[in-house]
Amino acid sequence: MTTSVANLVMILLGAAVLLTAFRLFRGPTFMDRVIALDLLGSIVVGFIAVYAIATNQAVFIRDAIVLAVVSFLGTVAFSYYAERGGKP
Amino acid sequence: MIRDMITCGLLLFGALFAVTAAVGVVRFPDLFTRMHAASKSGTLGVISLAAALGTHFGSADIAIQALLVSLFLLLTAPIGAHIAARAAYLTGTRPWAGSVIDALGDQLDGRKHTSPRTDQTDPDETADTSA
Repeated sequence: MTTSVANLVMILLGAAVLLTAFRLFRGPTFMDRVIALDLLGSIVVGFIAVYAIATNQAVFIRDAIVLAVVSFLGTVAFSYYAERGGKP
Repeated sequence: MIRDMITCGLLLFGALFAVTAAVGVVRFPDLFTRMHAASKSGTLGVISLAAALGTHFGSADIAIQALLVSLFLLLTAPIGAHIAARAAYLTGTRPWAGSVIDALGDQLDGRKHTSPRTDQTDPDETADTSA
């Protein structure tokens, strides 16, 4: 039962990734793309957790930890870059 | 059996909130409301999915790691949203015309900004602000 629910949830999260990717490509300003990328990172962290449940492999949780850290650092770096006016 | 039902409930709850966050990011009128949807709803959804992982495996080792993911997201989501909103405001993004309060704008009035306010977006991208 858990596996089929996890498969359904992975489909739903795939739809969420597609919607967020639409904003990532469309988003009128640079910062719109940054927050879309931030949400995309969060959703993929959740996707990894669901994938670990579906395949019964608990080790994937470490990938989720690493991805959460990298996603946050990416948001901070892009915001800093934008606030400095595009100069590093 | 009970644990499986709790896991399934948490999974569906988390997926619902993640999809809600994605729909909010697509549909909301300006950057700040989009960020509101992404940071609050998205974080709650992902924390629920991590809790489902902790209940599914049922060992303290995995549960602590899932708790670590939740705690990290809970700690960094407000910080990231704050930094991104501040950068967006200082680079010239203004709230949607229908919003009722602009607290940072009142604070910054008549003061020198700490960051250069430059228009660094492409000309064809700035045209679409009311989408």
